[in-house]
Amino acid sequence: MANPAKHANPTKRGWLPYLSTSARASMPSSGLILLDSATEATMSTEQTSSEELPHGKSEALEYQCIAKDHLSRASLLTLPHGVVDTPIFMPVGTQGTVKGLTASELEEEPINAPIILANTYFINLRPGTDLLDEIGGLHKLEGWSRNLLTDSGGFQMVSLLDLAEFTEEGVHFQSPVDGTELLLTPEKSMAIQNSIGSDIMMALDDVVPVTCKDHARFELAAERSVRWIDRCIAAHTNTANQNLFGIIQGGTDPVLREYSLKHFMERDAKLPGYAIGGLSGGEDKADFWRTVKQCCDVLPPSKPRYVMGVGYPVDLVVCVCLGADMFDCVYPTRTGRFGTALVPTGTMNLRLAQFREDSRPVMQGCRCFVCRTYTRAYLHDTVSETLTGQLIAYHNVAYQLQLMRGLRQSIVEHRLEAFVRDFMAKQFPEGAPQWVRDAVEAAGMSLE
Amino acid sequence: MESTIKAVHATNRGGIPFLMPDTLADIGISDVSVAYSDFFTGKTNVRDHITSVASKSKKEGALAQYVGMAQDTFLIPASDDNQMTEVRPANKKETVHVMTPFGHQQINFEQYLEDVAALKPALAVLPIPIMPKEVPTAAAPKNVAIKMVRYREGLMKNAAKMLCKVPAKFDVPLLVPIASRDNLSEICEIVEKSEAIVGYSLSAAPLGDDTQTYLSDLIDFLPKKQIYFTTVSCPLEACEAALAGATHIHSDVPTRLASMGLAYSFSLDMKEYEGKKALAEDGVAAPKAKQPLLTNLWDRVHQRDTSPLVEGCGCYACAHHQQAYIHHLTSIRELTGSVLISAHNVHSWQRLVERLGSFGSDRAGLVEFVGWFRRVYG
Repeated sequence: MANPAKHANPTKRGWLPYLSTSARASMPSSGLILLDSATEATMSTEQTSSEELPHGKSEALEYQCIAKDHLSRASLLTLPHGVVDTPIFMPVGTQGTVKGLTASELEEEPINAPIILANTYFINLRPGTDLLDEIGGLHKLEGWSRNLLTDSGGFQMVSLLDLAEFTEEGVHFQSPVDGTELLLTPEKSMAIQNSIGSDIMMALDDVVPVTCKDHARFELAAERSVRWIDRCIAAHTNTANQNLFGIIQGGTDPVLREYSLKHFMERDAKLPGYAIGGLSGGEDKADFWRTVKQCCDVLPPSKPRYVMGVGYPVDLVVCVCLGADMFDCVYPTRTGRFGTALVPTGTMNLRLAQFREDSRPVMQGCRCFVCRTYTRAYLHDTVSETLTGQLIAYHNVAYQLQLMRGLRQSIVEHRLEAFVRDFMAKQFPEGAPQWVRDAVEAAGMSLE
Repeated sequence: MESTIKAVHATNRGGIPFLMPDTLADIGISDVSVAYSDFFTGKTNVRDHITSVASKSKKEGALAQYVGMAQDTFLIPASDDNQMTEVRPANKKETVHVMTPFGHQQINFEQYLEDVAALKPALAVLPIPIMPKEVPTAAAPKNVAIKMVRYREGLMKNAAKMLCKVPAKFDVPLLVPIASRDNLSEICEIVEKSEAIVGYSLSAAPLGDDTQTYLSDLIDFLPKKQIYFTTVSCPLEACEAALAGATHIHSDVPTRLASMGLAYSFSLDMKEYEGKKALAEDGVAAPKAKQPLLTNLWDRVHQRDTSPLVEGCGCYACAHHQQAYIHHLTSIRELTGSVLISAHNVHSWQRLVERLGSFGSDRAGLVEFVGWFRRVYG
């Protein structure tokens, strides 16, 4: 594993597993701390012993759960380009950049993103693997020194449906740029991601729009995804530095999900982590959370769980409650560019006239420079300017990352239920929707 | 040595295109301009709101505070001062008609002064119509020529009348826009006596053999006050402005170029091209000694170039990224490409103006530097 981050063995005396990365960094070099008697007493009664906290290690990944609260986990995910505190939201940089944000803005507080996404299909189109091989990978090209996760190109089967043709061999795409044809096979996807040099590579899966009515198509996709994971595993040549995650498919059919889970678990030894795919595409919310829970209940606790394409802050909180660790979505940046800011009470459409004379920041207490510098009135006044779209997108990404840190801290401090209650009360003053209440209840908590 | 010339960066409604506060802080932006017509004319009028916010705050500079700028904010009448045209008396109040990106708008002179007093920018350019530079040629029909002369005379008389409304003392320093020497005597007399008017806003003259003649002819005529060169479009024009005695050089070009994928490629290191000076004197080799002012990031020649835009530049883009990446972003029309090139261009422009201003009273040093810059990049 290249550049493994060092952290204390959780079983040693005096090691407090509840500290965040920054707090740990400020600890004395001996790693010993003095605990007051009250803290020690609290630890002895509430702390799950470190032996019960899941821990898993692969060639290029180490997963260490440091706290649990009901089903949710706070963990350290050690990857080749640094440690990721989970739960984590990963900003999306499809074509090698998170739109309008520089690498420094992503690295510095309050965003401080330890990992971002890129897309295999689009990176292969432009700039292409020849250039990446020459330059030394996407980290070098992009000037990004932290972790990268690449989606396999599978989602393009949905987003570029009209330009794709599916076969057992792979997916025939017609480029949206210049019309050239590409056959994206599991082997090809692995090769491209090996060239990109991402820390986490996603397997090529057969992705079906979740709103598709053809159940047979879902069956085929679930079965084919199992066959393709074997091909991905065989084709992956850089296991020492890159981690292949398998993707559980099956739509919202619990039987198909069970099928997919069963067959992926048979290959567990070869997969450092897992994703729950095929969701966040317009399905019923009840089906959404039940599918996430079903998968999280079965997926090994010693490995990270990534729900792809999530998303909305409410969905993030619910999925964390159900035991998921990692998330990605273009939503915060995209909605920001169109003038909508994410706030604890939901969304704030700064195009609305009600903000014309509002001299407050977008969000009180937000540490981002947008909230420290600009008023709602100014952002409203200039909302059609490109720069204002960038500013709001920046705030939104900062909001998502700060939300995840808040969740993590609440897990560490065993007050997740109170955090979720407070969060949902702000988001839904009239009362949370039934699906949220059901999901939280299924996680062993209550919003009442 | 502190620069005696300020680089004033144009904004779109208070924001420098593509550049967020953290990048501006890295560059060290000191001065920006905001167009009055962007905020305070037509349907868009946040004057009361801004002044209300400012009255609750202890900070100085309501306008700067509103647009989120910690540094000095200059108020200019319109995003392109040259667009100010005729003056029409309406309801016994002088009004300047302005063509803006939002359409035809009017700036009421007295209202403008009231707003300036409330907004407290660091400096404000008065909305006086600018005399056209060209005079009717002998080839123009006689009746047109006469109309033009009378039009110009009328403009200047109205301009003088408007200037008389400026109080002798005013909280905000004011500048008068000037374009040509015609009929300036009356205006100069008013400016000379006014404490409130601290200088002039001049359009940078088009480059050519008569640039310095034009500028010196005009500037020598004016009472000795600050000179704000507006909408300077090229580093060479900035050099001319510095030679002409500019105290402020204003431009919106760095970010406009960035949006087109064009990055400044000039260096300020005179030693870098010292060797090539000899070549320039050799008539055969002279063309090769010229260096381009701009590089086009769309060009595939940058596709595999792992060097920064300009070696030794020091801007964010050059410190963190390669030409290959910026070319990639530009070729796929990613916003971040414009962000990085803007960061580079604005940084380059800021450093150039600071360099021009660093000579202070060392006229010989400035002449030598400008001479070198013209030789290498002209």
